[in-house]
Amino acid sequence: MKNPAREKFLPLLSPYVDGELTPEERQQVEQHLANNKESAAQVADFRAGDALMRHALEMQGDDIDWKAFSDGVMSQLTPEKLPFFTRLKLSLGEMFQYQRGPMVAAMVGAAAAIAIAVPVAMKLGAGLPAGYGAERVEVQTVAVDSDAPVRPVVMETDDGDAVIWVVADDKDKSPDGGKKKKKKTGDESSEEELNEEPEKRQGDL
Amino acid sequence: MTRLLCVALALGALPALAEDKKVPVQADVVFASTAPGSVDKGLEAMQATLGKRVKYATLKALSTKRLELSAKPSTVELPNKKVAELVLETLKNDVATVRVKLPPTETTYQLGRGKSLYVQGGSHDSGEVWLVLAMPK
Repeated sequence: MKNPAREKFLPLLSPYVDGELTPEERQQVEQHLANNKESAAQVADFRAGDALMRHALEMQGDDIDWKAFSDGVMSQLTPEKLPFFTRLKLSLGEMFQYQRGPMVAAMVGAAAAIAIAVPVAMKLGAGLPAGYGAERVEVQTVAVDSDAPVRPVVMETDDGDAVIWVVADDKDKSPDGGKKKKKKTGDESSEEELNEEPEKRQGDL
Repeated sequence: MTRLLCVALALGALPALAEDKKVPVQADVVFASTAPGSVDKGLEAMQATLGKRVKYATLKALSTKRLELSAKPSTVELPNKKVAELVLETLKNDVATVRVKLPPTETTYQLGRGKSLYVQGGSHDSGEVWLVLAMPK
């Protein structure tokens, strides 16, 4: 004997199990199942079959090495390479978004280093012309023409300067007949042969 | 062939580089007198240095010249018709040795950083002229 209600709901039982019905249909089906044991048993059969099939598929899936499959798929994908400035912009944007603190600290540190290094480099390197590596002026030799009635007097100051005075020579001239040469060494005093009064020396030459 | 040409050019450039050593020097000619007068601005240090022996009351800058010293002589004319001749003798370890010929003297000295060499250059008018050699400012 046919049940008209069961005939009506029979096509909806499988979609009900699969969750494909609207809430209204679902409610109607559930009311039908509560009154019809045959349909309820069929729904239970559907659910058992689904569970069995799912379990079998899972067991089958575990036996397959999906890594090779995913590697194969990924190897065939060629990501689109963005232009350099776009990538740079993205990278900087991400860095400033997620690492703002360290980035700001690094930039401040770099600015401070530049502010210190540039003046120091200018002072030590670029600002100093070639040939001035010594701390002070050092007179090595002073000679005067043999026929000149003068003699040199070297004065080196504490500040590192040096002065070559030329004073009247009231001593005998050197016997070599050439230039009178005065060789300074580090052991000599900072001032040599300066015995005359300033007023007398002025205008000696 | 190209390689040989490059080597030849490089070897040929070496002597030119060696001769290219130049050392800048500022040469000031200063009139000095013990007669009452004024001291030009910037010559106070010279007055103090020379003042240990001679109290110059007048110091007047007559000329300033920037020289690029090399093996070739550079000259500075003084107002008393004398001519100073400067030659770079050596440049080792960034220390330059310079020969200064200002008759009747001939001086060889090493440059000092920020320091000056004062060379008495003879009489002029009622005073003297000095040649002051220093690092360019």
